[in-house]
Amino acid sequence: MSESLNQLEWTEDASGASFEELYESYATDVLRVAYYYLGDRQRAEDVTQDVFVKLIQNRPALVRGKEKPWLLKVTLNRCRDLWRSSWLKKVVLGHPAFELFPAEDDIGKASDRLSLAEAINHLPADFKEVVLLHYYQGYGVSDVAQILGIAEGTVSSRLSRARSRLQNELKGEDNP
Amino acid sequence: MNSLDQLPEITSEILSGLKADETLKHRILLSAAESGRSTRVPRRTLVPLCALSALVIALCVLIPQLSGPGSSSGTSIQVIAAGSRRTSSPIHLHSMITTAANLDHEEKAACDDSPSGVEELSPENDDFSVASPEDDSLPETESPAE
Repeated sequence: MSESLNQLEWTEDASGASFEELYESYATDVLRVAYYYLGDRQRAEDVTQDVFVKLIQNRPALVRGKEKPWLLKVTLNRCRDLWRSSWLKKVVLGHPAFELFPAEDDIGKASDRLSLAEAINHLPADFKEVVLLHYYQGYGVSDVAQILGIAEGTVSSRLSRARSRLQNELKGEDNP
Repeated sequence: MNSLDQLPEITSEILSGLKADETLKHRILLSAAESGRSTRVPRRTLVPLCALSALVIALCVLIPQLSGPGSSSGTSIQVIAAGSRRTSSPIHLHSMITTAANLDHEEKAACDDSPSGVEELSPENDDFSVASPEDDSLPETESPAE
């Protein structure tokens, strides 16, 4: 294994960040966003692997400070592909159960947060993307629009409708 | 929604055990090394492979055309005698070449002093015609020796 790893020649990308730095800084965020999206740990790890393999192989000319948006964009694209490809399975088998991965100290506190995480996981893909980028990753509407390649008005509209759906779901009401 | 604004904190609580660890990093590096190896080799060999395939296809097309049908038994030329009578016996190309070489050799030996070594084709006989050994009706050419 070490022999094959040594054959991988990583050169620093245009932003000057090495693979190690990018992985340490953003891999957990990528993994969690993918997990929020897919609700499956194995698939989330597969997506994270695909994203960083793409980073290594393509070595895109990333501008400093723009590495994370690029990684999240690729992550969401990959999640969307998986989400579409497994549509039948989801419809037939239902949504996968959103599993919690709390640290040992947080187990007691975590259980009452489950409902929000599950509600986000049950959102339609378009709504889920904007919620994750805006509320979880803290990007503004214009940044979200740029990452997803859609209009700012569309982002605002989706955020509003996503909030409404979440509110309904958390109250136990049926979504239209 | 207040709880949505607290999503980063909530996530760090409920998913604090979900981290990209060294195992995943190792998996990524290994996968990148393997897929890089499998994708680079075909690109490098693509051009020679295409050239080789084109050569093989060209040879497959050209070789049958060059050798022609019935090439295993030698090339035969149909003989038409001077009297326009079609003979039934073909002459093989390699025997013609051998005969021509022998004639050339004899010609060289005899051309110095003997006027009878060279046959001249008559102007009327401009067809390429060869007499077969069995054929009695030779082309009407005048030999200087006679």
